[in-house]
Amino acid sequence: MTRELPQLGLGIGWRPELALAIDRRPDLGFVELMAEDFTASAIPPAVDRLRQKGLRLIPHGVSLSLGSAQPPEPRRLEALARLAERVAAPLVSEHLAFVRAGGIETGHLLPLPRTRETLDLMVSHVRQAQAALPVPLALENIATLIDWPDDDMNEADFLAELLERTDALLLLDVENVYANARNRGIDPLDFIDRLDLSRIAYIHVAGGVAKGALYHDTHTFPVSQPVLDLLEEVCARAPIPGMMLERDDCFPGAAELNAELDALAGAIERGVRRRKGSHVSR
Amino acid sequence: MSAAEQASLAARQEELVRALSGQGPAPAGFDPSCLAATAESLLRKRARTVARVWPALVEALAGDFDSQFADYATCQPMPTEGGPLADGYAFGRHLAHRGELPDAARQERMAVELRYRFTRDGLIRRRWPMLKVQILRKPWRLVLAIHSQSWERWFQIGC
Repeated sequence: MTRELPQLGLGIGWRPELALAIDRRPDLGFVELMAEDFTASAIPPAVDRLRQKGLRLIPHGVSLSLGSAQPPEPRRLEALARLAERVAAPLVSEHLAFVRAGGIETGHLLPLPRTRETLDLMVSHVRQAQAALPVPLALENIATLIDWPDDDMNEADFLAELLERTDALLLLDVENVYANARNRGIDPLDFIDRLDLSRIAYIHVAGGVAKGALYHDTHTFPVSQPVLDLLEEVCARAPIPGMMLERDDCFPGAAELNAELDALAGAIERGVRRRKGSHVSR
Repeated sequence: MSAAEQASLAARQEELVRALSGQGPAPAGFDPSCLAATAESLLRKRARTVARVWPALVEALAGDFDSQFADYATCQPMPTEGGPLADGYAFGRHLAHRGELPDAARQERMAVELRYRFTRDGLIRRRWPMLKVQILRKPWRLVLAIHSQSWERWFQIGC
């Protein structure tokens, strides 16, 4: 299936602590904005300047809670829609997760049980969100240590069918794929190969940490080699419109940040070369 | 999904969320070690996001921030409005009720109170101009601040 997806290139999650380094890096094509940190009426000048320089801005929500039993709240959808319009976003993204229940906010992305019934519910919530948003919606796979006792579909098949039925785009988080596969003792490529990679709008990459037997997706460490290798594998399989780094704390200086972005660009380039090489040899 | 199935999902999601935020027992059928690890990372993430927007409070509590925040977080869920700013504000109230709010953190709170009012749901942005006066110790001084939509002024008398 062919889709007209915006070519985003290399990107990064915008954080005030990284604003200067982001402003000075010449090869960025886009930045992602944590949607809840911004209101359409008060965009910081540093962010507007990036847009004037030609970078694309992509609002990334964490509070729609599309995986809740209740439908997404209209006021949250309206705020996201207004922000997307204000920054002329080519698309917005959210997670396949729930973040609140019974009036309790967790501030954390939690998985919903993967059954046929919850899949139908998710399809309906995603369609409601799509109807309220002025631009396409990309859905992200989350990192989780929790599995529900009544799960009867695997994560990749659940996600693939959700995307197929809603025609939503995919925000593939390679670090989350790695973290879940490692914690469940499965092959991350098995997850990748069950998805329609032509739906990828862009990719998230980040660094986590192993504590005891478990790997935690913390976004506070440099990206590890296995995650860069997985990024290369994805880029070797399909053309990917955009890839970006997420860093949420323990912010590095400009030199370390640039080295991180260079490592990402290197893995992407290796993947693209392999893909093009395999096309030629056929 | 039928209405009954939806209500059952809502109840089960609430049970899980309560367990993860220290407000209820672990629901049946889940791996307890994975629940405990998730509860811990949820708490750590909550503390980290609060620390980012309340730097003076973290500095004033010095090494006690993590343990004090854990005490607060296990008895109070995150406010529904205002994100980490509201969570940190509620944490400060929790400390103030116990007489443990460090004086060095008060000016930072005052700056937030100028722009927001605290409700049961969290922080709501003020629409009208606001004036606050506060006496701060170490060093002793009287601080007065005025905030309106487009400007803000601070005045200080004392040492």
